Amino acid sequence: MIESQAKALIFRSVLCAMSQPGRIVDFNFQMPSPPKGLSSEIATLLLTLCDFQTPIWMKSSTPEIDKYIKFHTAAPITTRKKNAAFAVVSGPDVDFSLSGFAQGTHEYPDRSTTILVQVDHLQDKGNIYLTGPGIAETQTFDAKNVSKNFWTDVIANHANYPLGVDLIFVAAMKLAALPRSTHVKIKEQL
Amino acid sequence: MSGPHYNFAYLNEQTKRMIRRAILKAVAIPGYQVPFAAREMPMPLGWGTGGVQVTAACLTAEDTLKVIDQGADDTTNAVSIRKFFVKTANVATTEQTEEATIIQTRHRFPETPLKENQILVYQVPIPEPLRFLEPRETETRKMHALEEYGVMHVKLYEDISRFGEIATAYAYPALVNDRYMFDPSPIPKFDNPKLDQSPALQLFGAGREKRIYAIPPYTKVKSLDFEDYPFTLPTWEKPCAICGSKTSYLDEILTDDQGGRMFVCSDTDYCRKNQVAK
Repeated sequence: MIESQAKALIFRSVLCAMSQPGRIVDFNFQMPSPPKGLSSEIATLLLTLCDFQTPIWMKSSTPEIDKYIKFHTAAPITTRKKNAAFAVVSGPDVDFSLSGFAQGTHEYPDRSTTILVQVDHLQDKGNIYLTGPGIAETQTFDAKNVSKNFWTDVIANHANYPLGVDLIFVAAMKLAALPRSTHVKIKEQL
Repeated sequence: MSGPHYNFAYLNEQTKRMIRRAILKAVAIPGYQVPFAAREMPMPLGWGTGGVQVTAACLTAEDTLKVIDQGADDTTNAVSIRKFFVKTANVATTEQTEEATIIQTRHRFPETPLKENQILVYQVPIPEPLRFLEPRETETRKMHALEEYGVMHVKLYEDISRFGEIATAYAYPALVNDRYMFDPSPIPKFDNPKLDQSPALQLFGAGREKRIYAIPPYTKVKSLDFEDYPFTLPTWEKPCAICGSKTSYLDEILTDDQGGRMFVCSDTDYCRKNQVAK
């Protein structure tokens, strides 16, 4: 269990990332030995944000990971994307569809999935151009091992605003967020 | 650190998680009011329980907290809330706007421009700008869903037809990020332009009404108006009687029972700095 003050610092890092989309935030917190297949960063986020009220959907999991999450957070693991408050996506390549997750409703757009995406590397330079709330002018951004289809999906996600999912990317000791409010352009399209 | 009787910053961890999740959704959908399970706080409703819960969920041991009530650091509400967080979180406090990392405010936006990585937490009594025009929550929720804000324009129009101008002077409705109409809390409309493209993160907490909403940094906030009746700012005939500022928001202070009065800055920190600079 992390103590209260550490969790406050972790949350502030997440809040900093979410309120300044595409900005890379230092995320140097160590969770007590998450099982193989679950990164320390993802474990830190789950243990800080999740509890019995937040069903979690896992793209790939093991019985050890499920056990760890249930023990530390009491969050139910769900197999239905639509029911998930949080989703965890990791793997050699990030290529998955955003459309099956809870998008919220027009009356309650907040009832949507927050997706935690594990990537190899995050950088604030690259071919992805971000504009919108939280960004003074334009923020450049890129995440390694993320497929082109995925970015097309992220663009479609913004087109559905105010509905949609919110993304939190993590890499080794780094964090960045892409809320649905961010307008995304890939350089070729400029 | 926080004494033997309280968790850090008073609230228990599950409550903080719930509030933190609501804050993240509020930031992702600027201006949309996220429902949250507001707790009872050790102070009456109407004394800033919403703002206190948002501050408690955000506060870290490294923060420097400033609390203002109508711009002043030394009024009852501000003093009590500051003491509350000193007692429950042992947090550093300041009266200087530039030094604060979190500023909790009741009904003012500080005169000193805010910076990146500062958080401004507003205490909100009625978060729903349409509430006095449409009492039913089911209806106002639908109006936000459909972006159906005509009724507010009618209200402003009726102001003009009755008084010759838009008479709304505080809690002046504005549109966030060209989508959600929101109530900036009962700040004077003088402060509305400061919310637009502010480098600071702005969080709004309504405890009794159980809503949290947010304006991320660098977000468009447009006060509602008409082409022929544009949004205007109030002006004063005289500068601040203490510091001489011609640009700050002035409070009227009665000085005797003979009709004597003076106008002074509502922002005490700004006024003090102006006096020192002289």
